[in-house]
Amino acid sequence: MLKFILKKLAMMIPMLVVISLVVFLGLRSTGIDPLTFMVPPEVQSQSPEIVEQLREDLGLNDPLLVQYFRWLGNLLKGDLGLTNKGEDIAGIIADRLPYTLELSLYAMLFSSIIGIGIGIISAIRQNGIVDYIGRVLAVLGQAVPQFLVGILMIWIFSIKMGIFPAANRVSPDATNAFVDAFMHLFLPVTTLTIGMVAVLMRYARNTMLDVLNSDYIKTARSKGIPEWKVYLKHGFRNAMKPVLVILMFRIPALIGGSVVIESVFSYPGIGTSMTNAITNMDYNLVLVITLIIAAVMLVASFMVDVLNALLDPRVRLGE
Amino acid sequence: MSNTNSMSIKEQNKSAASSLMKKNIRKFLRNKLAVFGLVVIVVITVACIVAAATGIDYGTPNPTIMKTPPNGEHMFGTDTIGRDMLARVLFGGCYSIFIGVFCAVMSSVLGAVLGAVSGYFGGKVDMCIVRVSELFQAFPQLVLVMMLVAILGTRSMGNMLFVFVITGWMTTFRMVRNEFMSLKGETYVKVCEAFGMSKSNVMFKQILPNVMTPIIVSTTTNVAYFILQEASLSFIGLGVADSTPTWGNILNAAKSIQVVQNQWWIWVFPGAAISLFVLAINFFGDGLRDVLDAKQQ
Amino acid sequence: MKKSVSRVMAAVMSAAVLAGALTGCGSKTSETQAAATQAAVETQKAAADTTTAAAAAAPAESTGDKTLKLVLSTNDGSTKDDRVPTPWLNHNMATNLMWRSLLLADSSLTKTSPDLAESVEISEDGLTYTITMKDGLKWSDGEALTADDVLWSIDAVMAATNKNSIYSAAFGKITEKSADGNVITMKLDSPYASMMDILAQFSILPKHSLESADAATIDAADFWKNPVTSSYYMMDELNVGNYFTLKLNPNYEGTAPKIEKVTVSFVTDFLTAAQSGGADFLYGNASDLVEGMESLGSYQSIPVDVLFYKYFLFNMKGVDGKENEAMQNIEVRKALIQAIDRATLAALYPSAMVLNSGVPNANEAYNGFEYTYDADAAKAAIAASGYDMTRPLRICYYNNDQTSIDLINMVVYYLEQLGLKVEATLSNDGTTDLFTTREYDMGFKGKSSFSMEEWYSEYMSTDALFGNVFGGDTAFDEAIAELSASTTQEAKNEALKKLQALEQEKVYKVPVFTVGNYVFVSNNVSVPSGVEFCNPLYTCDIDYANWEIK
Repeated sequence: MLKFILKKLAMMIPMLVVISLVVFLGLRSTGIDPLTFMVPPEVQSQSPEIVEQLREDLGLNDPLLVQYFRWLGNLLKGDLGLTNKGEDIAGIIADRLPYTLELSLYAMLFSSIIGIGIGIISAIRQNGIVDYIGRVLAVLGQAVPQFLVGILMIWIFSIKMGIFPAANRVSPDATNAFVDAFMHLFLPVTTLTIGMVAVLMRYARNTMLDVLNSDYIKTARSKGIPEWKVYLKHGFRNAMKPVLVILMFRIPALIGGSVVIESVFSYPGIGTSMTNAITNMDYNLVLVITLIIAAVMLVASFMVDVLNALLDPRVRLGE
Repeated sequence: MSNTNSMSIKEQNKSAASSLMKKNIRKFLRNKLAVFGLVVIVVITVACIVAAATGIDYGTPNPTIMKTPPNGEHMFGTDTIGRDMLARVLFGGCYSIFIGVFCAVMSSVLGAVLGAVSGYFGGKVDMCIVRVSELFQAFPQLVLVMMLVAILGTRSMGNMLFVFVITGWMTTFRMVRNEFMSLKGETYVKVCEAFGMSKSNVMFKQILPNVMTPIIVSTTTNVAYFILQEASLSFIGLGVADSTPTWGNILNAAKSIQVVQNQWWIWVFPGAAISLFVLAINFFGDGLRDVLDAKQQ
Repeated sequence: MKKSVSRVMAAVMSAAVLAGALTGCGSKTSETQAAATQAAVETQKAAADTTTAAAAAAPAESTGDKTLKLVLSTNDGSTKDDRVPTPWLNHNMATNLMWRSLLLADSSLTKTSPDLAESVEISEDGLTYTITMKDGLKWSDGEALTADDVLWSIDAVMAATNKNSIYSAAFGKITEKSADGNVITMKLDSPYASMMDILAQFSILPKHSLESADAATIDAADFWKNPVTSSYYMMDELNVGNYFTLKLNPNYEGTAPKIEKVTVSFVTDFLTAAQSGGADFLYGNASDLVEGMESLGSYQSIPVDVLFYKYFLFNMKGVDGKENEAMQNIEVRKALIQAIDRATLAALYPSAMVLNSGVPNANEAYNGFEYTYDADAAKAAIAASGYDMTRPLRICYYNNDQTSIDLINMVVYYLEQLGLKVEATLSNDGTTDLFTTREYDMGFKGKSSFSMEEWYSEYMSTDALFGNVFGGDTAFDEAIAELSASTTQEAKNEALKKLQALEQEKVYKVPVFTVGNYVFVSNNVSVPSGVEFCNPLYTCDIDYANWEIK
């Protein structure tokens, strides 16, 4: 098992390198000249030699691979580089990443608890009240576009009722950082959770149903094992595998969702930075943010593999 | 999951296919929600296609009647520049439904084929495809969309479809692959192989039907997912060009809090169209799953 | 450490509320369910306690202790949510409370009184300015504010990329300048009638903290995260992505304002901010905002006399000589404009006035020319021009309020009626996209103009921004110089007529209309009587020291 984990872990590093290389080359192949953003237009036309000098200094004339390894080298030294406007990327990440992590982790946590919980209960008591309410809730939460939910939340809770702030993450006159965080996070986290819960609930219910209808559960029941033990030990354990896979695969959706939700709630997270960086063709910044997200997703994928191996020995043997 | 069970269904399928079909239809019709879903899907789709075919005017602005509430002439009212909302919602439906269905089906097909190949053959083939899938998985969809927009220079419908399919197959892939890896060691597969059945036959006729249920469930959710995804991308300004009236682009008017508060018909109708359609798809998908789920029979 | 603890607690609380809400609908169907409900009930109690605490804290937060709440929109294409915006591009209330100019304008922006300068004398030929600075001025960090800062600021604004073109138009005239103690002497190559007005709009920035920054991108310097100021307030705290706060500047030599603290939040939508009670002062012209604000009832809505142009510009040619071939044919440009019904577009704004040049139709200098709307003639003209109809026409705009989007949608519709394929792109960095990357044919822009001269100064071949889309065409330079030198109304009108004829001949910029602008002041704030507001993107005397929070 340890060997399996180590092997998977070792695979992640070349993967990250390949991803960064692909993104690097992909962004470079767009033909966008970063100097367009760095040098004022009149300088570009009046003194092309300055531009050429700058290009040389920045190493933009070197072969792409050389540029890539230089960038990678700097990255390993902890230098994330500068944006087109000359801002320190490390600073931007340090300012905004915690906000996004905060937002998405809470949404992930609550949606897993609520989604898996309700999903399993509705599978056990199929066609019961919880099942129906859960299914309707799940489908409704999934049917209404997330940004619309967010906008309606702002309308109802910020404007009509005046309870929660409509934008930002920190109030300038917050007396209590904890209350302030709660107030600012409540609406975006709730909005994200509503969207996430739906999918998890569906999957948890469906897979639990699959498991409960399987022969080994029937066998377990026939052996006279208590009902709760059947559910917990046999049902839950086996149903968790696909649910966990889905949970992990919701991470990109979660990140995508937070990009949209951050825009709805004017939330100063990394999603907003990325949207801006992309529309501004700021590829140094896009590169770093993409890499961070890629790393998060690789870790998630790694966890799926490990969990799979833990829950289903056949996978490990198959490796 | 046991082989005897699946084998018996196989035989049953061959001997009594027509009676099973009837049984399935009856079973489906008993599921009220699923029937409701199917009806809604059909009604909305037909309405949209008919509207588009008759060439209703969805595009002529007329500021003198802008923001008119629903009335006899404009049943859904008019939008912020005086275009008929009903015509826009119907026309938008054609685009949005097409995006959803096309991308869901294509990405599932791609995912299932790659998953089957990867799971069945294993080894180097598997490793390569898994790496590629991880590579794709590691890119947020947003970045891919933007990279393509930057490279191709336009926010066209074609780019959108391409990006959705290329970024949407991994979930199905993982599901199918995992299932194949679990099942390929089963005795019945070995038996089939021993009988000299061709590899593609074993893969697609023997093993794949076992994963059809989750594939169908995920395809239905994906139709909904892509419709919603299109709306979200439009919301952050990266979707299909504004002049194409997809549901997402129409719903963009809800960005203005003033519209949300005072012109409910401008966002309620497109919002309801998206939600109702997605809802119907999900109900229908659930119903289909109940019918197709061999294990429940 | 504390922060993370509070975050975890916030997580637990919101979990409790959510769990409570969702499990509330379930019944006691299983042990796990029951246990979950039990736990939820318990935590819900705790959550309820804190929610009431939060609710109690909220009103205290909103009234604050005499805090003026301002908002900055990050949607204007230049303001970023991690720094104070430069006052050299657009002014706003916040920067007006942080930096001063040599002179102070009144609400008409044309009458000035001393501010940093004690006096300004102009020689009879209008070519020599002698500016005497006040004694003992200090920056908020205690350094002396001297004539040196003024000279440096003038050089720096000329080198900056993101700046208002009024500065380059005026300061481009300066041939030599020197300082002797408190006295600055500037010599001009030709008279510049509105020099005093421009000086009243020109914020002096501290040389000692900005000297080392890159001249062209000075607006991106780290300075703006913790700037040194010269007016009522100084920086207290910047919270990236959220807000910055201002506190009284102890080195300000005048009367301290009654309001001791100012908070400035970065928002994306003024209306939402106002409706959720987060803004005491804002402004705008889009019908959504104006209608929404007027329906709120808790704001005073004040129309301000502003020359706010909405206009199209054609991407012609870079200073690098790179031409945008498709737009070179003037018949194409004329046909495009002829296809757009500007009078109908005007219905989108609360009080828009269609105009045909930089000179409003009601002005005596207006030459009577009109861009007419005629879809059929436009269709014939575009066909005759030989324009490649398969080539998509690219429109670039950057205002993302609903009214602007609606307007562009209508323009797209009109142009599609010509048989063109049209792609409209909403840019989120208008300055870069319009003037640097230039991937468009027709741009749509707004300009809150200081005067008609400012509209025409955009045609100057040397203009840092527009020079790059109009190819540094020198055709206008002479007439612009005439206008800026003219001291009598007749001479001014003469120059304006000449400029109108030129701009209608060239068709580089086509105005759509001017829009009415409004300033909104919350009823929480009491503004001394007699205060008149000026164009909110400029600065003038609003007797701020006597503003109070009720």
